[in-house]
Amino acid sequence: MNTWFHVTALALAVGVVLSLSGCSDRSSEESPRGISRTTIRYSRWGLPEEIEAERQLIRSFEEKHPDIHVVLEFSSWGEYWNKLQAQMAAGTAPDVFLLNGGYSNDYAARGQLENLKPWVDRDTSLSLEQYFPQTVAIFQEGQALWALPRDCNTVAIYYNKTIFQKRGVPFPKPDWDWQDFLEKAKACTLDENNDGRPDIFGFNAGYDSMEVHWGYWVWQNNGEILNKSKTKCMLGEPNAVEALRFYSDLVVKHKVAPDVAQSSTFGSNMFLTGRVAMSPEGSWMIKAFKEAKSFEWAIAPLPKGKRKAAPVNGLGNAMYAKSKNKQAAWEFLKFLASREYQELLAKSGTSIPALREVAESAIYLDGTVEGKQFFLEQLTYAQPLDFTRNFAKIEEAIRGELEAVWLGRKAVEAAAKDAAQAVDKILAENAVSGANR
Amino acid sequence: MARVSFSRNHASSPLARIERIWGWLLTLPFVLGLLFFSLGPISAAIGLAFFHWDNLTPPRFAGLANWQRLWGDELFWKALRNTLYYVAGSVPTGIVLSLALALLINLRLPAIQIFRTLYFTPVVTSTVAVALVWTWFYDSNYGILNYVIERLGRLLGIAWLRPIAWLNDPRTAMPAIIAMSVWKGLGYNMVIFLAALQNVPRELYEAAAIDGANRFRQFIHVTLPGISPVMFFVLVTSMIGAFQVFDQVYIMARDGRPANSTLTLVYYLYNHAFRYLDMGYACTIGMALFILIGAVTGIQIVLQRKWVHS
Amino acid sequence: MKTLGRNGNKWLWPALAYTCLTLIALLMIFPFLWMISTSFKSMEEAFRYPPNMFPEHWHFENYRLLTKTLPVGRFFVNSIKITSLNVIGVLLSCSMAAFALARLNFPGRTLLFAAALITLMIPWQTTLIPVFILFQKLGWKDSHYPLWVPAFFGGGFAVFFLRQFFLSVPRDLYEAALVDGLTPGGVLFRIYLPLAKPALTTLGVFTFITSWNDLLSPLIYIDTLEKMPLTAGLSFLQTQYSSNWPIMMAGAVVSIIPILVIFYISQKVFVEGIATSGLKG
Repeated sequence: MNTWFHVTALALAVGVVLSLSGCSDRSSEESPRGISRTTIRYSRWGLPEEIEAERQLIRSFEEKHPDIHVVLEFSSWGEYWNKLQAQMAAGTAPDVFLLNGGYSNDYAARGQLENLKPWVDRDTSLSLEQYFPQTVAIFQEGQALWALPRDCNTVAIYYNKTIFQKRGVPFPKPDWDWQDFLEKAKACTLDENNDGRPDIFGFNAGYDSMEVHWGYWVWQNNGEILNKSKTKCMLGEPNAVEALRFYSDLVVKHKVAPDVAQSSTFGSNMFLTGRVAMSPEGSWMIKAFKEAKSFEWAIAPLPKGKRKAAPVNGLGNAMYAKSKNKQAAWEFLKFLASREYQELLAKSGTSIPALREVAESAIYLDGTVEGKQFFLEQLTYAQPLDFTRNFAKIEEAIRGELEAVWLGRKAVEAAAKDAAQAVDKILAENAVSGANR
Repeated sequence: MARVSFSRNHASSPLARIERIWGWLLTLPFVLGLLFFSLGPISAAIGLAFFHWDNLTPPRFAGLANWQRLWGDELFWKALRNTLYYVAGSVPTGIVLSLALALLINLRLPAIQIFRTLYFTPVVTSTVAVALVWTWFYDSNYGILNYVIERLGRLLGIAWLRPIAWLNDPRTAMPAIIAMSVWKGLGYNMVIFLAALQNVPRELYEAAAIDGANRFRQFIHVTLPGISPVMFFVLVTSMIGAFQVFDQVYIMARDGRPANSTLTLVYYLYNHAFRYLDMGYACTIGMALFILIGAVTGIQIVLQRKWVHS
Repeated sequence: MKTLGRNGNKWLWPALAYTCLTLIALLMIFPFLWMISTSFKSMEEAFRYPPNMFPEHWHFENYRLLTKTLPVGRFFVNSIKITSLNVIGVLLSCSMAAFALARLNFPGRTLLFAAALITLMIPWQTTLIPVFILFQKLGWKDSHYPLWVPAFFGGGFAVFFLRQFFLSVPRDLYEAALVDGLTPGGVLFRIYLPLAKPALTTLGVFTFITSWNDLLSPLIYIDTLEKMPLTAGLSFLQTQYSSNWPIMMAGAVVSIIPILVIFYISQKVFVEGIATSGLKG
């Protein structure tokens, strides 16, 4: 009978002891060698297997800077942004964190990011000219710079050589165009058991991402998504509509691509498992695709339409505007953009480093993957998306309309016009709130 | 709820005093928890419905602006309709099926505990894993479900038994998600009902059997009244949970696809809170949902006096 | 028990029951079996169509890779610590509050019950940031406290759950015990709690599962990978662009097994129940 009282007492005691013991366990301010050290926090998302390499580089940084201690906060992709926002709301965001173009303008407009331009100007050891200009452009807004470039990725066509050979289709040539692409996609699509449903698709069209999937087709057709001053959405214009029609025909008319639900569930895994002949994928997928054992693959540049065009996906490292240790954070930011760190990126197979000399060196072009050089070639003309404030809202407005197109439920022209209208409204709100700030 | 009992006629009676003191004493941790962990955040969430807040800069008072916007927001109404559809589709089915399962596994058969554990697996399996498996089932080209439907159609010569686009079709996407959710949640309420069934004194069954009541009549007259407080609990919590459906939709039907047919209120709210940096409006949606849930729960509390025995 | 073979045929009825039980069981565990099977497949086989139920080659390295890239042992210890504190906390604080709400008459009772329900009706998405700020103000940065301390202060769901169960215990018991000279607290600990063992066990199992499977809070409140509990730690396997399903499934299997074991063991308690513990209706 008394056991309940005992359990209660015991549990309370355990609770009290644990809470007390926990209160005193935050230290890590002094270094093992007794020098007083500044602690800075650095947050990024990534794959578990990247952690160890990251920690080693941090140790190497700490050896060069014995007065700085870097705490790595490794976050999961799923909750990275929510957490960062909660931390910013509480005023406790990490001193240095990984940032993408989509959120850069939003956070900057709300005073969360340190303008790095003065830091760059003051520091002679760092020259932005050494980096791919696009990755600098992503984080540049007027005279401000919101992050130091980390990587500079782009999207190209990965193709399954084994399927091409089996179907007797010649491999893509570097100067191929839309027509050639469509013929190859058709020729590779295969319904082995004749049940009316392809078992192998010619092309792994995706629909979720403006950047990886459909955006650059618009550019290739001399179309635009937003105008230069980012005040108007241009999707309703004839060139853009024509490009979107070409893309949607792949799934709706020619049936050489998986449908929306399938593509959203299986995504890149369709290529990895040999169920598509061609797939538009980022340069960050090389490492993942090395898992493919049963077929040979290579990389071809994106086919050209009326012109050549390709997207840039660049991440940067930003400094928290309310960081208490900005000098130390700056030193670490520079390290992340330095040759030493960039070489790690080059070797990882998950990124093209933003530092040009590393990207163009044999460290990146290691000869392991056929056609890797096309990424670098594309980077001579590739462009970032038209990032602006409320970009998530803009993407969502467009996605909703285009989805009906991919499903064959709405005419391309009508959907594109409606999308443009919805985006124009958001851009108009941006202009108003921009004036208020 | 308030029951008159032999000793409570005078608030000043010694028993009333003892109950008062013990009542406060026993609820003290809970009250502290409410004050400390819930009161602040909840009032913040309610208050923010009247502010513009982007999570990052100080909130600006908005008056009723968010509510006006809500009133004219087509997507909000769409999400509301979808949510009601989800609640209506999942709650009754879930309760009936889980009670049936509970009765089944309440049988005293050898090895029944193995079945209990098996029936419980969907509950513990991570929603991510489950959603992936079900998306595979529903796949319009390669899914097992369509494979079976097609085979059956051919076998029986029924023309309308043809593959369905499931998650790609605005008409079937929500039912598909409801079916998955019911399946996933069955074991949960099953276990609650199982515990409730154990609580019904066996003597009552014996008495009823002596009076000549058959199994069915025993179920109606002994089992159902006996588990009614728990039934009330299951009904209320299932409703509250269903109104806030999020995880399944988040994984199986990103962005409310197709054609916003699976856009639910909490998903819509989440987008505003974290993707569009519009927490003020998110809280407005949250409050609208709160008022709705509160009203439905209030009605249930009033109605329960007619059917719950306590 | 005694009426199972009531139709005279001692075999037909159990045979029917088992067939029914087995069919439902297949339906319920099929996805789980698929998960296990996928966790032993190669990436390529995992996506083959039509799928194989059994892997062609058993790839144990999915599990090995899991432990190689992540400190799964640490995750496990963290999970055990956090979940057991949650179970203790919830059972203690909620049984006291629920008993008071179910049986004692005191001012504020209705208000408290309403408050318990209200906490369930507010979507977490709207309170996440205020709660986060609160915990940061308390100095609970990168620590386990946000994950278990609140459990010791009750929770709406658990209080409501136990209240309903206490309501189904006949009221006469309470009154008789008072007449015998017990205090209300004594009635709770000596009579109601022992009688409510099935409900307490159920709640314990639920609390265990909720806490064990909680993905969001650890990812938000904890910064150091080594402090993560299992389920949240394994979610690091999911990434933005591609997911290695077999390894993810291996992770899911690893995190589910402990719960199934706990459930299997504890169900003896749910079923023995009040009816056999000497209650005179």
